[in-house]
Amino acid sequence: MINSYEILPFNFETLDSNFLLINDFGEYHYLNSKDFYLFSSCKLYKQSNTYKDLCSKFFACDKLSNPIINHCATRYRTKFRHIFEPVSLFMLVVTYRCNQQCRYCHATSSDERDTCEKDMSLEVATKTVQAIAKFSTNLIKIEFQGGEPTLNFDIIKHVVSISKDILSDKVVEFVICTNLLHIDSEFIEFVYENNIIISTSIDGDRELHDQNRVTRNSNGTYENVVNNIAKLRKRGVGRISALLTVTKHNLNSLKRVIDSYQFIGFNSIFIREMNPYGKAHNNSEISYSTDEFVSAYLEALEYIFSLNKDGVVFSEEFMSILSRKILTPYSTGFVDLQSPSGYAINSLIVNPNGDVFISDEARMVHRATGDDYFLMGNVINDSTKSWYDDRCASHISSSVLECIPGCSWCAFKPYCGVDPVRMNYSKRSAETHCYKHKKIFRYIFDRVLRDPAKLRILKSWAYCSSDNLDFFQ
Amino acid sequence: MKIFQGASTGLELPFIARVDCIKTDERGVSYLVSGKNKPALLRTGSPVIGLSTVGGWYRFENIDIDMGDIVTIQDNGQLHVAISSNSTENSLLLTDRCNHHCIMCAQPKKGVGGVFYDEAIDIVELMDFQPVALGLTGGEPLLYKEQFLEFLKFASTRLPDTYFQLLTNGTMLNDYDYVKKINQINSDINYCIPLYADNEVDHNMIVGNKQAFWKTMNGLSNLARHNSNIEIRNVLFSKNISRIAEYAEFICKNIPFVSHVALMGIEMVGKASTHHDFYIFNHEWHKSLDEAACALYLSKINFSFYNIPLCVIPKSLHEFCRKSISPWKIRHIARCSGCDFKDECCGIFFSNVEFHQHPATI
Repeated sequence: MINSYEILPFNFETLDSNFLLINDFGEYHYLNSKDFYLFSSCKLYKQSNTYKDLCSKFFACDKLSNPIINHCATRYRTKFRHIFEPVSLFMLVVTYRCNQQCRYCHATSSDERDTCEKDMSLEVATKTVQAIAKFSTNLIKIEFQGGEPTLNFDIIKHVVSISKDILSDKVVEFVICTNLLHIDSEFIEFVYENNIIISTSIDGDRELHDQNRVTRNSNGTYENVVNNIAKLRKRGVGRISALLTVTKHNLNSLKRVIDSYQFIGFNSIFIREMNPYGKAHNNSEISYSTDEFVSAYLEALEYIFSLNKDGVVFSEEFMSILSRKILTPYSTGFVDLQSPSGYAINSLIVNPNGDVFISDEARMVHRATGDDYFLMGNVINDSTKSWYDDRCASHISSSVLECIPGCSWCAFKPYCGVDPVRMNYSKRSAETHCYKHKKIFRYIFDRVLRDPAKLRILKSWAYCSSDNLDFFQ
Repeated sequence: MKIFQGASTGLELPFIARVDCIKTDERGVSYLVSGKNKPALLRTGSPVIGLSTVGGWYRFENIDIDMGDIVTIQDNGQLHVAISSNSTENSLLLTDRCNHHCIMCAQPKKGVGGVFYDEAIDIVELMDFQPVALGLTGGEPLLYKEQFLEFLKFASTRLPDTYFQLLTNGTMLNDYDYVKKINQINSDINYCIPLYADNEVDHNMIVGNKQAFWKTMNGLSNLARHNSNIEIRNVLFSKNISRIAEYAEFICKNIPFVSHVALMGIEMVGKASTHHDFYIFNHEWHKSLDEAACALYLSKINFSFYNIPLCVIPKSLHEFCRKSISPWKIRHIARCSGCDFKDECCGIFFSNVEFHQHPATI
């Protein structure tokens, strides 16, 4: 038959009276119901623009052939490039001690005046860097966390110093996740000399920030953070980013928070939901429902879009990552939302005593409950090879979306992922995780991608996001 | 390529020779040319104008050649300046036969066409300099696979510093082993490959070949696996302009490894000269062109517009327009004399003058 064609695999969702088609490597297309039925019963007219669109996006082809299959395989490998990459993100928790006592702290940090004996030692730090050298990736990110990592500045200096030698064949980027409460000129100089990226936390303007981010004596910390950012910038430190922890207090003031970020001079924000661990667990004073979070988040996004339309350059990090997944053929380095999960295979976290976990959350769960289900091993006692055992393999394979009922036929599968720790910790988590992400995806496909101005803004975020795995496999 | 008309007697054709010596005297200009084993004398001025060699004679009206040029006298009496020593745009026609039948082909073959790989080898052998770049064109230069390899081997050895730009439709590169063979001879070729649409329906209709699109795509994939330098070319006309934004998206998502995308305005010559509806440059497509440019720009893929006068392309895209039409092909119309951008503009292609109507005033 002259008008015959072949349909290539896809999943779909309904959006009002329309259909949204998405294939395994993330190409998407909207069809009205008439065209959808024509298409799926092979009656679509091949000279129509609709048919050409569907060919162009690999939903259909004249006749399946080896070149087409090979090309789809290339697209698929490119989308899931993270599977081929060995671990590239190493988080080092250099101390549990902290000089603040944020009311929602999920890291269950200890007091800064606590004994330093439990801090990460030289031996653990050295062994960690030696272990990192065994991984074959060439581009590495080492992220210092805590507690407050600046309280163990010596170890940070040590790691940066020995990396120059032990990891000399790799390109290494360092990140310090700090509350910027107290930094001195030695620290600023060190950051500048070694081109270190600073990641800090800002919850809004002074009033909002000091609501929860306080010292032991319940004093606010906003002043310090803002002043120290200024000092770093004055010295020439270019890469400072901030993330936001959403609590009940700033949930309905996200517009104000975004304005405060602009005021401080940031051009992006990472709007992050509070983790249900540590002090935040079952804490009705500061927590909120997933529904409330999503509504506030989407409203904040609308505000950011309107800022962009007025010519302000400002982006939201989570949305940038999603837009990279949807609008580009590439994968991302965002380990929290991958299939299989990026934990263990793309990122690792090391405790002060050398214990290695698959993720930050796994570590926090262990610290809170003693549950060692996601403990991979120890840098001192075990070989890196032994970290990857059957239990680890089962975490990874259980997080493959193709193997999870519901996920495997979900249209948003190529953009999504699960967190094996969250699933294990709380039974309700699976539902809220899916609910939250589906709502956000539906918003994107319903309200953003069909609006040319918003689409253009999202595209500019997609290609400029910082996690660039720009390889065509 | 410069072409002069003449008539030959008793010459073994094609006659290929290099201009070795130029002498001017009261009777005119003499050129000594050296062919393969045969020297010959070219004369202008009185009493006789022509080329003489042992047993042969070539008569012409006028000529304009330089030292180092390679000239060929063809069966039909024409003298071609195959290689011009002071041009930056030399190219060798390897065959004018083709496995595609593009509906807008600017240089359709005459009659059954011919095969010129041996002639090309002779030309390269006579060259006494290495051009910076040398085009290899057709028809489809890879149509005769083994002959192409033989030519490439010879040319790459003779001209090791020359950058070859191969203009091919890429369908013959569908064969991975063949791509490997080419790469083993010369791994530094610039492949200029046309892709006319984002979908097989339109592309195959335009090139007149049912399997072209996926053969070319597979060829591109094979080239990418060899890390080759690829330029994608598209001719913008009525049959593909409406999907130009989708075309750009397709490139960004499927072949982002290309070094450059050349978006060329159609030349209303050859097969296009009888299809007046092909020409499309007016405001109607400004939005689509803008979208296409935006997509390529964000993906960090280099691109350029060629052969499109600045008055019919959005101002925001002027920075991507290149002045690329050979000087002797450029025309201007009355409106151009008042235009502020005349110096930056590529001008109007000689064959397009009558179609260039209702441009936007800048």
